[in-house]
Amino acid sequence: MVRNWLRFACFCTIFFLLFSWCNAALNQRSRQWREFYQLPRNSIDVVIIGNSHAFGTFQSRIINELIPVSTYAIGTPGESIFVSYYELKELLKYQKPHMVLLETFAINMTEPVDIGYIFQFTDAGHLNDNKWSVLKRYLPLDIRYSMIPVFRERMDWNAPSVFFDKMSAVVKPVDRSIGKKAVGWVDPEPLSDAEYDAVLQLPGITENLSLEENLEYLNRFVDLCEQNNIHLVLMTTPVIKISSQYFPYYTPFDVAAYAHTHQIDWITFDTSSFTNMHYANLDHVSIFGSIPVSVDLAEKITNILSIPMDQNRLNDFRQFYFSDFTLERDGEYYTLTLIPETPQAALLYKYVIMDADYREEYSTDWMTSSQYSFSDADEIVHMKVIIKNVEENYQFEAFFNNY
Amino acid sequence: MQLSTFLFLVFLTIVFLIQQVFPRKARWIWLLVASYLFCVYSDVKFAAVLAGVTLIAYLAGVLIANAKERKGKRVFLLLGMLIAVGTLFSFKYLNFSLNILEDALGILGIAKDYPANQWLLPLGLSFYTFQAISYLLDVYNGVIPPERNIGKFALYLAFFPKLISGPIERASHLLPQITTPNPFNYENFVAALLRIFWGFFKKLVIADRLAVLVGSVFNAPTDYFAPQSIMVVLAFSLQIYIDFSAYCDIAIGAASLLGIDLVENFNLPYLARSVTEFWRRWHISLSNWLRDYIFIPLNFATRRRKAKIWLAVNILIVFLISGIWHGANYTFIIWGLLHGFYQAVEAITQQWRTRLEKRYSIGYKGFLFGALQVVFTFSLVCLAWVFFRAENIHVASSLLKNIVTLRGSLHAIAWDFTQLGLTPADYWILAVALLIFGVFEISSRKGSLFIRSQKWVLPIRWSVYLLLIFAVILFGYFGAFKASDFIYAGF
Repeated sequence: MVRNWLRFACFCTIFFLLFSWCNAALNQRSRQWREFYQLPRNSIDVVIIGNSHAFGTFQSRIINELIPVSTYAIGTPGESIFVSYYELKELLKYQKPHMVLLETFAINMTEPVDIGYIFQFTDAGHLNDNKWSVLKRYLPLDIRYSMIPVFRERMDWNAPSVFFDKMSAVVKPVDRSIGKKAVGWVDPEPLSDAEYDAVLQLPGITENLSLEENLEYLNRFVDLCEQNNIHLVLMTTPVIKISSQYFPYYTPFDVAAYAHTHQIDWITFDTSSFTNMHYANLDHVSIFGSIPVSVDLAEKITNILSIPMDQNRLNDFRQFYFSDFTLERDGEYYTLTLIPETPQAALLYKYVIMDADYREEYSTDWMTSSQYSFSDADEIVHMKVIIKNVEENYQFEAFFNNY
Repeated sequence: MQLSTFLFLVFLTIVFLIQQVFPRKARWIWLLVASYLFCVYSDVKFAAVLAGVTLIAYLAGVLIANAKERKGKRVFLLLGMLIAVGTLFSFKYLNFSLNILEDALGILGIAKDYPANQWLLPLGLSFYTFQAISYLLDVYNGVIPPERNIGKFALYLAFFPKLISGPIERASHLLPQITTPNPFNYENFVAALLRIFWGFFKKLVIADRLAVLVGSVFNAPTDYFAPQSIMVVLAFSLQIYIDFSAYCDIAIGAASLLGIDLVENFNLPYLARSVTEFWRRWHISLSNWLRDYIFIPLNFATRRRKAKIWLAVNILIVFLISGIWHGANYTFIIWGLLHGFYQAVEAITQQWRTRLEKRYSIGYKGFLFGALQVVFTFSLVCLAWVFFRAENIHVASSLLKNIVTLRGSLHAIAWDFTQLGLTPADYWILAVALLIFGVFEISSRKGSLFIRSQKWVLPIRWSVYLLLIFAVILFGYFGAFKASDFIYAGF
């Protein structure tokens, strides 16, 4: 009998090891949170926290190269201030930032855009009180088991390589050199004129939801910053329009009044020169909008913290400001024209033509022209443009299509 | 709480562990508490209904046994049965009956609209009502003495593994085990766990995937064509068998863990060579109940009538009741009557067919003839399944019309099965899983694989067990979220 139970225990052990491996493979932690836990302790000076308006707008790399701070953008898509609060609590276990920039869209969200996104935070690191608070709030009891990745989702076996890649990644050694190079993720595809006009036609916000819980957690957020001697700044990133069609849980919040009452700095951005090129969708900037906004943020941080800015790098990044683009078609012939704000900007362009499935058909060499013409018989055409400066100390990719 | 959920596994583990603390003869107390907790988890009102039916059946049983005269016994029997059936009728059939009345009055030109009963159907009511009735009849007929311990009797009705969907246990089989459950045996313990996971595999990997396929066509049959309709009918025949047998595997496995053996409910039903044989292999506990408590008494009541037509009538009555028991809808009535019709024809023509086979030396014991019988029986059963699954007669007739008219068979789109809600990967998973299922079913004819596999070489049996568990975890069609829901997966 003892032998039987020993065998049973061995079997359970093997099962548990395999189960943990599968759990790690089906983990949904975000790249920001995974890299966060790999950072050296107390190595972040400025934290940008919030939903995708935070980590999907600013490029930490640009800020870190302009001013002598180490910046890190973190959050989960569509999160509410409730999640931001617990993320800050978690962050403060490992880091002691001087400044926290809270993107205010999280305050407007009375519920996350999609409950599933909370796993990008709760799956990272170990389960603890902060993660548990978020899980308890958003997972009803009957699906509380979803906190365990293997019990959470139906695996997409149409793309099995994703699963096997993650399985093998579990046993690879961790690269701890990530450091301060996290750049966030910004949408590389700008809106066309027609798409921009369509966004403007969307219905606005029609219903004011209760902000009671949000205000409670915003106050807690402010208090937490005070207790930890952190300079809190509220920040509102540029959007075209907020529509109830996409954000049923959005409710207006008077940031200016709150900031004034609590004597908190509030940053907004001048987007008077922004066109459709600077936006990727109704509420996110594109890569073209991200660069000036990141530079602008760096300038604002220098003013608040009274620290110097690297003017040479500032000039480098300003070369990457664009004002508009056109993609014209004449039968089978296409002409893509990018219009830099500084006509004499020393930039190099590489154009990559792709088919409807985004497979590369051909690419050009590096050229100085911001205009490129080509012929393509396909109805759907995708283009990737890689743009870098001559010093080759910064480059980015942008995507365009003809629909 | 559904049996095929992680929560049930957690619940079962806790119940099992706590049960070990109790002496064997007192374990029924904990099982009774656990069963009512199981019921209360769904809704405390369900537990109240269960308790009510339990009390009535218990009292009726005691009164039947204590009554000195047959007449008195009969009164208490009828009272008990009336209250039990009345409870079932109120929750399950009242609205349907009122609808029938409205329809009938409508035909007569009288427009009448009765308010619908908003009560939810209590968990397992159909099953434990039949158990209560069988108990009362057994006590009345002197088959068993009444159970004087109300707690044990309550557990007989409420025992949670079989509460939701059976098997429908007889008191003579279950009550003695409640008093003295089986002692712990390691081999049975492992077999029980294997059976539970096998049930999970069948339910989550196969049946729930098939359900997507079936639902897409049954929800809108006029949007689909003959080949898709045929495939979906076949898929449903597999789905319902695998789903129900999976539930029974989990129930029987869970009960076995707790020291109680439940009756088997299936015996390779789709290998039946006649519909009559099908019902000896399908939902065995129900068909035995119908045979013992309705068919045999009916036959006894009509024993003086020699005409075979009365046999046919009795069969039709039994299966009409079976259809109604399954659900309050015209479609279930048609389903039941179809099966009744099949068996009535088989019964009436039995002698004639046997004479025909002997006269023309048809190899009725041969493999080919047997295979043809199996296919024919399966086809008849599938036809009936269309009504069982369809939400209403219109849906059933639309689907059958697709098949009969071979709608769109010449068009390529009619053979496109990728529009039925499953991806190519799902189809592959289904194909492999069904193959495994088939191999398992055939192997089981030689005896329980759950016991036999424990004699295999250790590395092989552990590999098989782990593959089974991980097949459920990785390929199971469950989970509150889908991989494709995460747009920002790259973050």
